[in-house]
Amino acid sequence: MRFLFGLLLVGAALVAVLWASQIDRGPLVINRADEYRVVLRWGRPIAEIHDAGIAGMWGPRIPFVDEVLVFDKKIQYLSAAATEVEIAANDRVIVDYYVLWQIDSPLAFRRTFPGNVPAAEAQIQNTVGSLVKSTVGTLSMGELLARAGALDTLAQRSTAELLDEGVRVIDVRINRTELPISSQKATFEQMREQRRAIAREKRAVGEREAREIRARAEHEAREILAAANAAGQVARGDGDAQAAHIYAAAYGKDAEFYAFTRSLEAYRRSLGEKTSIFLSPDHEFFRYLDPSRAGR
Amino acid sequence: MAGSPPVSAPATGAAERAGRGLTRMLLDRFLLAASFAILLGWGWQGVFKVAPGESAVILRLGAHHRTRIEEGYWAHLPPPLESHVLVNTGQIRSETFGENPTRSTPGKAVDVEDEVVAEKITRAAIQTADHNVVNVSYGLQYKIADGFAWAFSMADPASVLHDATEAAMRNVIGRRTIDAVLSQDQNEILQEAEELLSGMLADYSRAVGHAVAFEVVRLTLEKPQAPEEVREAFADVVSAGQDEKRSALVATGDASEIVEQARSLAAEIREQAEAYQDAKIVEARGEAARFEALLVEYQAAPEVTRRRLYLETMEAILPAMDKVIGDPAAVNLWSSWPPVQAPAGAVAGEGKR
Repeated sequence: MRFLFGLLLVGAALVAVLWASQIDRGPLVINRADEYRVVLRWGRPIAEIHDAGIAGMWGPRIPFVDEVLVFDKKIQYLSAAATEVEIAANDRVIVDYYVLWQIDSPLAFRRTFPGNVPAAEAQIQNTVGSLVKSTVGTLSMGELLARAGALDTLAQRSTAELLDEGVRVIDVRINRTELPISSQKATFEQMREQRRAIAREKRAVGEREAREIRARAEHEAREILAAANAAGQVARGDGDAQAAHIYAAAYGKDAEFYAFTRSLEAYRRSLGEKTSIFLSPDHEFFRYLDPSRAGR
Repeated sequence: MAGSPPVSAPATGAAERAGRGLTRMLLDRFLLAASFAILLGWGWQGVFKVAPGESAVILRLGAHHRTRIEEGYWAHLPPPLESHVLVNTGQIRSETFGENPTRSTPGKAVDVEDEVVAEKITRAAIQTADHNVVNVSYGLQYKIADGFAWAFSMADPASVLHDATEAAMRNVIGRRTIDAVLSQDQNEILQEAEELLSGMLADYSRAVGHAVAFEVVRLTLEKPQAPEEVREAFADVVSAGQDEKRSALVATGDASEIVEQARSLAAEIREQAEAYQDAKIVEARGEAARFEALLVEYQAAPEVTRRRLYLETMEAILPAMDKVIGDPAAVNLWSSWPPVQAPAGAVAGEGKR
């Protein structure tokens, strides 16, 4: 019974010690994974604890004498206010960026920023903000939009300025750039002009293509007609030649008779109503008109 | 305090002694029970429940010790020895950007000027490399990949992820021209943005020695659009493209009409020529045959045939003609002949035969 009570007592005491340490009132210092702890003895820092677990190296803390300060070790997110910056070629642009930072050295941080994180944020926004402005100010719009390499070093340069204050900047990233209202109108106008030019070009190209197509068709049509005409002439010529051949073969059998019949035919065709003829009574046709001459 | 006798009680009553022993025993029992109850209660504090989709991140004396992902009731050493944080790692979380954003990005304004600037920011418009502006709405779906990193590596992981996504997407679009953004394969944009984002998140985690807290499930991109103010001009470009195609089509139609007309005309010309050719030959054959037939007759009786043909012809042509019969040697008829001018080729010498 006595033993049991003793065990309970020891256990209770241990738990009490641990609880007290957990809330930074006990003799041990327990550091959580996302925190730093600084132990002050008589107001003087004696230990800066970065790692998680029970800090044994610096020995037990003297309760009520040693003070424990806790700092956040997590990455802090700072969304900076959007600011208007004048960049190269007198363009103005609104830049919105965010900063990721972390307390690097809790003691230095504490010395610089007694107000802890909120105070640090104001300072960081100032420092990083002026760096961003001066860096962005040297870039052209195109470089800014393509996130030129100069922007990659912002974190390094910010860290260089803030490290003495216990702050390490992990990233400075421009998440958005916007045009001020005043230049938006100009941008829209420029966009409209670009589109108009493209539309005009497309229509012109369409017209040109149409013309080409029609011209090619007309070319082809002309070729087709010319070929047909040529073939036609050949056929006609051939027809004439064959006909001539046939005529020659037939008429050649008696050229004189041909001349006679053909002349008669020609008379039939060419001599008609409007023809006047003067005939001599001696004419062959009247051979029998005057019986006296019939004997001739 | 526990236990019993050897107290200094000279000579009190035995009954009194016995009574005191009883109360003491009862008190002891009560204290013991109370102690156990307290111990039990303390131990109970180490019991925790992992719901479906959750992970329990367990810290031992402040340091990460293990992560439980199996559902059900579990126990760890009672606090302050061990403690746990429950993180929902199964849930798919989402952020949207553009038209209906889940959060507004510009940070807290420092002064009035900044506040004015912040109000001017349009949500959906993104600048492109050719100094145009394009409206893009996109979304991110993600899961917590590592509960410990999620809970202990960043103060505001969701905001970091949101802004990083925005930075990545705007960077990718800012490197392209508006035409590329409007027409290009959107998967390419998404892939590039996701690579950029993963790189950034990995850098952040490495900087504080943690695993990457997020797993990007997917990035989605709605069809990018030209801003409302210039949409008309963009629509006109589209209709110009259609005009271009249409005029080419019309021209092709015209072209085939022209060619077909030419072909039909060509066919006509050929047919006509062939018809002429055939007709000429047939005609020639006909006439030759007639001539040959006549020739046969003529050769049989040349004089008679010749005279007959002649007289038939004269008979046929003379009735219609104006005729004067006279002695050309006696009268100069030409002067009084009604048609004043003499027909140049007037037949005169027919009688020579």
